[in-house]
Amino acid sequence: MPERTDEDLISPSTPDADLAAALGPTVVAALRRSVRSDAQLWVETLFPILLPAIRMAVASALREMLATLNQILDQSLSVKRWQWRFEAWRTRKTFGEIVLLRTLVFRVEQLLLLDRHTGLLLASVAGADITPKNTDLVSAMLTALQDFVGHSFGVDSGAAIRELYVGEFCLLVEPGPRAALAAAVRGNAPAEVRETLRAAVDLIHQEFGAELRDFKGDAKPFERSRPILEGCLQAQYHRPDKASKTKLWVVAAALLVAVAVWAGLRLVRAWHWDRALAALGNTPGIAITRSGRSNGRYFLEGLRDPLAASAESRLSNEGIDPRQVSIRFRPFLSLDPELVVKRAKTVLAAPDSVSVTVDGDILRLRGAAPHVWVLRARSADHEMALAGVRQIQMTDLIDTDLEALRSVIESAQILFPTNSSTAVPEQARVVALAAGRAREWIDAAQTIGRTPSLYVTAYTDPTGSEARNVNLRHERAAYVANLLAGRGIDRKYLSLREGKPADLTADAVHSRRVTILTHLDQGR
Amino acid sequence: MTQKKICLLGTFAVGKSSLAQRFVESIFSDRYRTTVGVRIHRKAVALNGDTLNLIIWDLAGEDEFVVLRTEYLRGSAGYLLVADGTRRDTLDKTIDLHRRARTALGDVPFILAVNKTDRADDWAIDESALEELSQQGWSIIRTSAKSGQGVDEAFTRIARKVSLG
Repeated sequence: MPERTDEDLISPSTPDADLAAALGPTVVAALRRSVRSDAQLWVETLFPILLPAIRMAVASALREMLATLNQILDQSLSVKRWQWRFEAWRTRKTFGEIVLLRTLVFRVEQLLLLDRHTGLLLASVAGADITPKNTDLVSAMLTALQDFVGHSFGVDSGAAIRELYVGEFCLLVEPGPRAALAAAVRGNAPAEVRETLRAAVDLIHQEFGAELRDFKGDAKPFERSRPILEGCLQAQYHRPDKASKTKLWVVAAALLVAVAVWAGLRLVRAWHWDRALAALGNTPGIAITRSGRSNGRYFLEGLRDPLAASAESRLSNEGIDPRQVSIRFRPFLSLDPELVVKRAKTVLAAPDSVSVTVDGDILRLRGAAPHVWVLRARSADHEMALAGVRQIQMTDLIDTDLEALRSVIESAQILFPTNSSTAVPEQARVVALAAGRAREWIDAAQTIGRTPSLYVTAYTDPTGSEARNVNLRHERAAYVANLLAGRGIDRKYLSLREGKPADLTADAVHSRRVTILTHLDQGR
Repeated sequence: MTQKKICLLGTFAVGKSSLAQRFVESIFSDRYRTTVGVRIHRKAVALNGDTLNLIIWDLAGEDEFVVLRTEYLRGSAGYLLVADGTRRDTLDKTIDLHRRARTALGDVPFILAVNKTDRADDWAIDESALEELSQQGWSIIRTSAKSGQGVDEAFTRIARKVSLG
């Protein structure tokens, strides 16, 4: 038969792949039988292969857990956590690492198994996130230190350093007859850790007695001790108690309330501000051109008529402290009717008996005022023009002085004898008084732009014929008109009128009279 | 990787630490700093395709104040005796150290390094003394930590000797 090699037997490309297929079930059955009969053999055989893979898987899982923990912790609120967050930034570690460090009770980070005779390192393990450095030198130095201390203080050669403290680390050394186990522990390890180390040392001496006895520098046999050492990599962390969780919720709630209050206050303040702006906008004589908030302070800019209400008072009315607002107004003349009236009252010094209103660009004066004021008001056109008033209208304004004169004039009665158109001489005084007042009245009316008229009206008693009474009335009116003209009244102001015939019940003496009625046109 | 502990023995200021530093770190300093207690170095040496991890214990030099602590010798696979070629008395003291080391360790490999060969003008050890030691079976190498002469050879030789043990 041709010579075959192992490669030929297992290669699928060769005709002997059939042989491999044939042997397969037998080999599998043999393996199964072997495992059932001596499982420990398979454990010891596969352990060196599986253990590294398991460690890698655990390390990977721990890294994922750390990343998740980091993410969760990032979302939590706590003063302490903010301190840890700062420490993480400062030390360039992840937040999760800092949290684990600060909540740590203890953690066995590294383990060294060393030969007590030579000080050489037999095996070492470390936590998943720990990078051990120079473990063989550490092992040697530890032995040298042991020798130094023992010699310096006369300690029995069998005795060993049990504990060393450096910063937050404690080095626990558990010596055995031939090997010692040194554990680097961060934090405060309980007594149970020492017991664990003791048990591990005992087990190692039990399992590796021959290897320890025959050790001449080759540490390979002690690779199998790694599971024992890894069993000593313990850790314990503080659990956040319920009280601290409650405190956390209280703090979170307080923060939430504070934020809500702050937001609420801001909303209320903004509402007040909007109302104040609206009130200012509706204030006659104030025009807001710009408003807002800058550097934490409200500001207002615009135009304000000097006669307008103060912006400060408006703000105060709406609950805004004017001292908290930056106000910049430029002066202007407002054509707002309210302010035009206000300005007119000021300019004209209108008495209370005069009402001032504005209708477009016409200023209307109503009521009653002395003649002097009426004259002044008439001449205020130019002054009021600046305020947007084109015309001052006073047709409904009563000149009280003119009224007084009118009253005197119209109350005068010139009496006549029966069937006569000549008044008795005593009536001359009445005519003189009436004429005097009439002259004043005419002059005053003209100064205020009104056109005066005097109606000389004659009356007769009911006696005599109507034809004769008509003549008498005409003659009497003419008589009084002549007297008035003789006393300086221009005839153009005089009109002759016949009064209504008197009825029989009227007083006969006063029925034969002449009165003077006044009339003024509307003017402006 | 196999590990072996070897010690550097010698009286004070013969250059033990300088030899270790030259071998491990390839550096030399003229500045003298006495070793207190022990300094430990590590260096991997390639031997016949294998790697031997030498843990080198540089022990404090012996003088009238400091005595060799034989505890440090415990477990050594070999040792390197160092003498100063410019001081004749260091060779005699080295011989005494060898005797004490032998008592503590037994028949383990050793090498004598006669150091400071760069100071030829100050050389004080005659060849006849070294020849006599050679005939007694001593392995002797002339070294200079300053120039590096013989340093690697000395450590490699002791490494080879201990690896055979």
